[in-house]
Amino acid sequence: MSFVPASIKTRLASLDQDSADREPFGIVKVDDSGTIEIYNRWEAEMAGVEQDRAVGKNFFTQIAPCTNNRLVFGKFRKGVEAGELDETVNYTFTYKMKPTNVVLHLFHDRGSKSNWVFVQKRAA
Amino acid sequence: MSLRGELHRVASLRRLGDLIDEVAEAVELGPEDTATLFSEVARKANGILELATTIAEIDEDEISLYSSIIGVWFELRYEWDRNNQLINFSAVQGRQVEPLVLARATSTARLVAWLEEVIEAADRERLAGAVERFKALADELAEARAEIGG
Repeated sequence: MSFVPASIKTRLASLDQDSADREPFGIVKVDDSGTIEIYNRWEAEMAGVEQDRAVGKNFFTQIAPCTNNRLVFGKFRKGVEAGELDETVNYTFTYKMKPTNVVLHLFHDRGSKSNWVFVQKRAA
Repeated sequence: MSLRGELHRVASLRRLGDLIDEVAEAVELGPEDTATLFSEVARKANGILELATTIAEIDEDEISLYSSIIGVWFELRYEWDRNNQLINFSAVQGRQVEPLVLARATSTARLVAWLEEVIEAADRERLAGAVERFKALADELAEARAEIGG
Protein backbone atom coordinates (compact mmCIF):
# COMPACT_ATOMS: atom_id res chain seq x y z
CA MET A 1 0.00 0.00 0.00
CA SER A 2 1.55 3.28 -1.08
CA PHE A 3 1.64 6.43 1.00
CA VAL A 4 0.91 8.45 -2.14
CA PRO A 5 -2.72 9.59 -2.10
CA ALA A 6 -4.87 8.78 -5.11
CA SER A 7 -5.59 12.49 -5.40
CA ILE A 8 -1.94 13.01 -6.34
CA LYS A 9 -1.68 10.05 -8.68
CA THR A 10 -4.68 11.19 -10.68
CA ARG A 11 -3.29 14.64 -11.37
CA LEU A 12 0.32 13.90 -12.16
CA ALA A 13 -0.09 15.21 -15.70
CA SER A 14 -0.60 18.70 -14.33
CA LEU A 15 1.47 18.51 -11.13
CA ASP A 16 3.97 21.36 -11.22
CA GLN A 17 6.76 22.50 -8.89
CA ASP A 18 4.49 24.75 -6.79
CA SER A 19 1.88 22.04 -6.23
CA ALA A 20 4.59 19.51 -5.41
CA ASP A 21 6.11 21.91 -2.88
CA ARG A 22 2.89 21.89 -0.87
CA GLU A 23 2.90 18.11 -0.31
CA PRO A 24 4.13 16.58 2.98
CA PHE A 25 6.36 13.98 1.38
CA GLY A 26 9.09 13.87 -1.24
CA ILE A 27 8.14 14.27 -4.89
CA VAL A 28 10.73 14.00 -7.63
CA LYS A 29 9.79 13.98 -11.31
CA VAL A 30 12.46 12.52 -13.58
CA ASP A 31 12.80 11.80 -17.27
CA ASP A 32 13.53 8.32 -18.60
CA SER A 33 17.23 8.62 -17.81
CA GLY A 34 16.62 9.85 -14.26
CA THR A 35 17.26 13.55 -14.87
CA ILE A 36 15.30 15.65 -12.39
CA GLU A 37 12.52 17.89 -13.68
CA ILE A 38 10.74 18.60 -10.38
CA TYR A 39 12.34 18.34 -6.93
CA ASN A 40 9.96 19.37 -4.21
CA ARG A 41 10.64 21.31 -1.03
CA TRP A 42 10.11 18.36 1.36
CA GLU A 43 12.69 16.29 -0.51
CA ALA A 44 15.15 19.18 -0.64
CA GLU A 45 14.89 19.77 3.11
CA MET A 46 15.14 16.08 3.96
CA ALA A 47 18.20 15.55 1.74
CA GLY A 48 19.84 18.92 2.42
CA VAL A 49 20.04 19.63 -1.30
CA GLU A 50 18.96 22.97 -2.77
CA GLN A 51 16.11 22.62 -5.25
CA ASP A 52 17.85 24.74 -7.89
CA ARG A 53 20.94 22.60 -7.67
CA ALA A 54 19.00 19.35 -8.06
CA VAL A 55 16.95 20.18 -11.15
CA GLY A 56 18.81 19.06 -14.26
CA LYS A 57 20.95 16.54 -12.38
CA ASN A 58 20.45 12.79 -12.39
CA PHE A 59 18.56 11.73 -9.28
CA PHE A 60 20.04 8.24 -9.04
CA THR A 61 23.66 8.96 -9.83
CA GLN A 62 24.24 12.57 -8.80
CA ILE A 63 21.74 13.64 -6.15
CA ALA A 64 21.02 10.34 -4.37
CA PRO A 65 23.97 8.11 -5.37
CA CYS A 66 23.01 5.63 -2.67
CA THR A 67 20.15 4.60 -5.00
CA ASN A 68 22.48 3.78 -7.90
CA ASN A 69 22.05 0.02 -7.67
CA ARG A 70 19.70 -2.74 -8.80
CA LEU A 71 17.39 -2.19 -5.85
CA VAL A 72 16.35 1.26 -7.01
CA PHE A 73 17.92 2.54 -10.23
CA GLY A 74 17.81 -0.97 -11.69
CA LYS A 75 14.08 -1.26 -10.96
CA PHE A 76 13.52 2.21 -12.34
CA ARG A 77 15.29 1.42 -15.63
CA LYS A 78 13.46 -1.88 -16.06
CA GLY A 79 10.12 -0.25 -15.35
CA VAL A 80 10.72 2.63 -17.71
CA GLU A 81 11.80 0.23 -20.42
CA ALA A 82 8.64 -1.83 -19.92
CA GLY A 83 6.42 1.26 -19.61
CA GLU A 84 5.16 -0.11 -16.33
CA LEU A 85 6.55 0.96 -12.97
CA ASP A 86 4.81 0.90 -9.60
CA GLU A 87 7.31 -0.35 -7.00
CA THR A 88 7.88 0.49 -3.36
CA VAL A 89 11.24 -0.11 -1.68
CA ASN A 90 12.26 0.27 1.96
CA TYR A 91 15.49 2.22 1.91
CA THR A 92 18.01 4.05 4.09
CA PHE A 93 19.74 7.22 2.93
CA THR A 94 23.23 7.68 4.37
CA TYR A 95 25.14 9.80 1.89
CA LYS A 96 26.22 13.10 3.47
CA MET A 97 23.16 13.18 5.73
CA LYS A 98 21.94 11.61 8.93
CA PRO A 99 20.82 8.01 8.36
CA THR A 100 17.20 8.30 7.31
CA ASN A 101 14.86 5.37 6.83
CA VAL A 102 12.46 5.95 3.97
CA VAL A 103 9.99 4.25 1.69
CA LEU A 104 10.64 4.96 -1.98
CA HIS A 105 7.78 4.63 -4.44
CA LEU A 106 8.88 4.48 -8.07
CA PHE A 107 6.01 5.20 -10.41
CA HIS A 108 5.42 5.60 -14.13
CA ASP A 109 2.28 7.51 -15.08
CA ARG A 110 1.06 6.08 -18.35
CA GLY A 111 -1.34 8.95 -19.05
CA SER A 112 1.32 11.65 -18.99
CA LYS A 113 4.21 9.28 -19.78
CA SER A 114 6.07 10.73 -16.81
CA ASN A 115 8.22 9.12 -14.10
CA TRP A 116 8.10 9.86 -10.40
CA VAL A 117 10.00 9.04 -7.26
CA PHE A 118 7.97 9.57 -4.10
CA VAL A 119 9.71 9.52 -0.72
CA GLN A 120 8.29 9.17 2.76
CA LYS A 121 10.08 8.69 6.08
CA ARG A 122 9.46 5.43 7.89
CA ALA A 123 10.22 4.13 11.36
CA ALA A 124 13.30 1.90 11.66
CA MET B 1 46.16 28.56 2.67
CA SER B 2 48.27 25.60 1.51
CA LEU B 3 46.58 22.32 0.69
CA ARG B 4 48.33 20.80 3.68
CA GLY B 5 46.92 23.54 5.89
CA GLU B 6 43.45 23.07 4.40
CA LEU B 7 43.56 19.35 5.17
CA HIS B 8 44.51 20.04 8.79
CA ARG B 9 41.53 22.40 8.97
CA VAL B 10 38.97 20.04 7.44
CA ALA B 11 40.07 17.00 9.47
CA SER B 12 40.67 18.73 12.79
CA LEU B 13 40.24 16.85 16.06
CA ARG B 14 37.41 19.19 17.07
CA ARG B 15 35.50 18.48 13.87
CA LEU B 16 36.11 14.79 14.36
CA GLY B 17 34.69 14.93 17.90
CA ASP B 18 31.61 16.82 16.70
CA LEU B 19 31.07 14.30 13.91
CA ILE B 20 31.25 11.31 16.26
CA ASP B 21 28.86 12.97 18.74
CA GLU B 22 26.38 13.74 15.96
CA VAL B 23 26.51 10.29 14.36
CA ALA B 24 26.41 8.44 17.70
CA GLU B 25 23.30 10.37 18.69
CA ALA B 26 21.62 9.88 15.29
CA VAL B 27 21.96 6.10 15.30
CA GLU B 28 21.82 5.68 19.10
CA LEU B 29 25.25 4.08 19.44
CA GLY B 30 26.25 2.62 22.80
CA PRO B 31 29.49 3.75 24.53
CA GLU B 32 31.53 0.79 23.28
CA ASP B 33 30.45 1.24 19.66
CA THR B 34 31.01 4.99 19.94
CA ALA B 35 34.58 4.37 21.07
CA THR B 36 35.07 1.92 18.20
CA LEU B 37 33.70 4.44 15.71
CA PHE B 38 35.90 7.22 17.06
CA SER B 39 38.95 5.00 16.79
CA GLU B 40 38.12 4.02 13.19
CA VAL B 41 37.36 7.55 12.01
CA ALA B 42 40.36 9.04 13.82
CA ARG B 43 42.62 6.46 12.16
CA LYS B 44 41.34 7.53 8.72
CA ALA B 45 41.67 11.24 9.50
CA ASN B 46 45.17 10.75 10.92
CA GLY B 47 46.12 8.79 7.82
CA ILE B 48 45.10 11.74 5.66
CA LEU B 49 47.02 14.21 7.82
CA GLU B 50 50.10 11.99 7.93
CA LEU B 51 50.01 11.80 4.14
CA ALA B 52 49.69 15.57 3.93
CA THR B 53 52.60 16.18 6.28
CA THR B 54 54.92 13.64 4.68
CA ILE B 55 54.26 14.53 1.05
CA ALA B 56 54.14 18.30 1.60
CA GLU B 57 57.75 18.33 2.84
CA ILE B 58 59.10 17.66 -0.67
CA ASP B 59 56.10 18.60 -2.82
CA GLU B 60 56.32 22.36 -3.28
CA ASP B 61 53.67 22.59 -6.00
CA GLU B 62 51.39 20.15 -4.12
CA ILE B 63 50.80 18.05 -7.23
CA SER B 64 51.60 14.77 -5.49
CA LEU B 65 49.50 15.70 -2.47
CA TYR B 66 46.44 16.70 -4.54
CA SER B 67 46.75 13.50 -6.57
CA SER B 68 46.98 11.43 -3.40
CA ILE B 69 43.95 13.15 -1.93
CA ILE B 70 41.98 12.21 -5.04
CA GLY B 71 43.04 8.61 -4.40
CA VAL B 72 41.87 8.79 -0.79
CA TRP B 73 38.56 10.25 -2.01
CA PHE B 74 38.00 7.16 -4.17
CA GLU B 75 39.00 4.86 -1.31
CA LEU B 76 36.49 6.43 1.09
CA ARG B 77 33.79 6.81 -1.56
CA TYR B 78 33.91 3.06 -2.22
CA GLU B 79 34.05 2.22 1.46
CA TRP B 80 30.83 4.20 1.88
CA ASP B 81 29.36 2.40 -1.14
CA ARG B 82 30.11 -1.01 0.40
CA ASN B 83 28.37 -0.07 3.66
CA ASN B 84 25.47 1.44 1.72
CA GLN B 85 24.95 -1.82 -0.15
CA LEU B 86 25.05 -3.77 3.11
CA ILE B 87 22.49 -1.48 4.73
CA ASN B 88 20.04 -1.41 1.86
CA PHE B 89 20.20 -5.02 0.72
CA SER B 90 19.48 -5.85 4.37
CA ALA B 91 16.61 -3.36 4.48
CA VAL B 92 14.80 -4.89 1.50
CA GLN B 93 15.03 -8.27 3.26
CA GLY B 94 13.38 -6.70 6.29
CA ARG B 95 16.57 -6.80 8.36
CA GLN B 96 18.04 -3.86 10.20
CA VAL B 97 21.82 -3.69 10.24
CA GLU B 98 23.81 -2.97 13.39
CA PRO B 99 23.88 0.74 14.32
CA LEU B 100 27.66 0.67 13.97
CA VAL B 101 27.31 -0.13 10.26
CA LEU B 102 24.98 2.84 9.82
CA ALA B 103 27.44 4.99 11.77
CA ARG B 104 30.34 3.83 9.60
CA ALA B 105 28.46 4.68 6.41
CA THR B 106 27.46 8.11 7.68
CA SER B 107 30.87 9.06 9.03
CA THR B 108 32.67 7.82 5.92
CA ALA B 109 30.34 9.86 3.71
CA ARG B 110 31.14 12.88 5.88
CA LEU B 111 34.89 12.31 5.41
CA VAL B 112 34.22 12.24 1.66
CA ALA B 113 32.44 15.58 2.01
CA TRP B 114 35.35 17.00 4.02
CA LEU B 115 37.83 15.98 1.35
CA GLU B 116 35.60 17.63 -1.24
CA GLU B 117 36.16 20.91 0.58
CA VAL B 118 39.74 20.88 -0.74
CA ILE B 119 38.89 19.51 -4.19
CA GLU B 120 38.02 22.01 -6.94
CA ALA B 121 34.33 22.10 -7.93
CA ALA B 122 35.06 21.10 -11.52
CA ASP B 123 37.20 18.22 -10.28
CA ARG B 124 34.39 17.04 -7.99
CA GLU B 125 32.12 16.82 -11.02
CA ARG B 126 34.74 14.81 -12.89
CA LEU B 127 35.17 12.44 -9.96
CA ALA B 128 31.41 11.88 -9.75
CA GLY B 129 31.43 11.14 -13.48
CA ALA B 130 34.28 8.66 -13.01
CA VAL B 131 32.32 6.84 -10.29
CA GLU B 132 29.31 6.63 -12.63
CA ARG B 133 31.44 5.19 -15.43
CA PHE B 134 33.03 2.68 -13.09
CA LYS B 135 29.60 1.63 -11.84
CA ALA B 136 28.37 1.24 -15.41
CA LEU B 137 31.40 -0.94 -16.18
CA ALA B 138 30.82 -3.07 -13.08
CA ASP B 139 27.15 -3.57 -14.07
CA GLU B 140 28.14 -4.40 -17.64
CA LEU B 141 30.63 -7.03 -16.48
CA ALA B 142 28.11 -8.52 -14.04
CA GLU B 143 25.40 -8.73 -16.71
CA ALA B 144 27.80 -10.31 -19.20
CA ARG B 145 28.79 -12.86 -16.57
CA ALA B 146 25.13 -13.64 -15.88
CA GLU B 147 24.44 -14.09 -19.61
CA ILE B 148 27.10 -16.75 -19.96
CA GLY B 149 25.88 -18.45 -16.81
CA GLY B 150 28.97 -17.60 -14.77
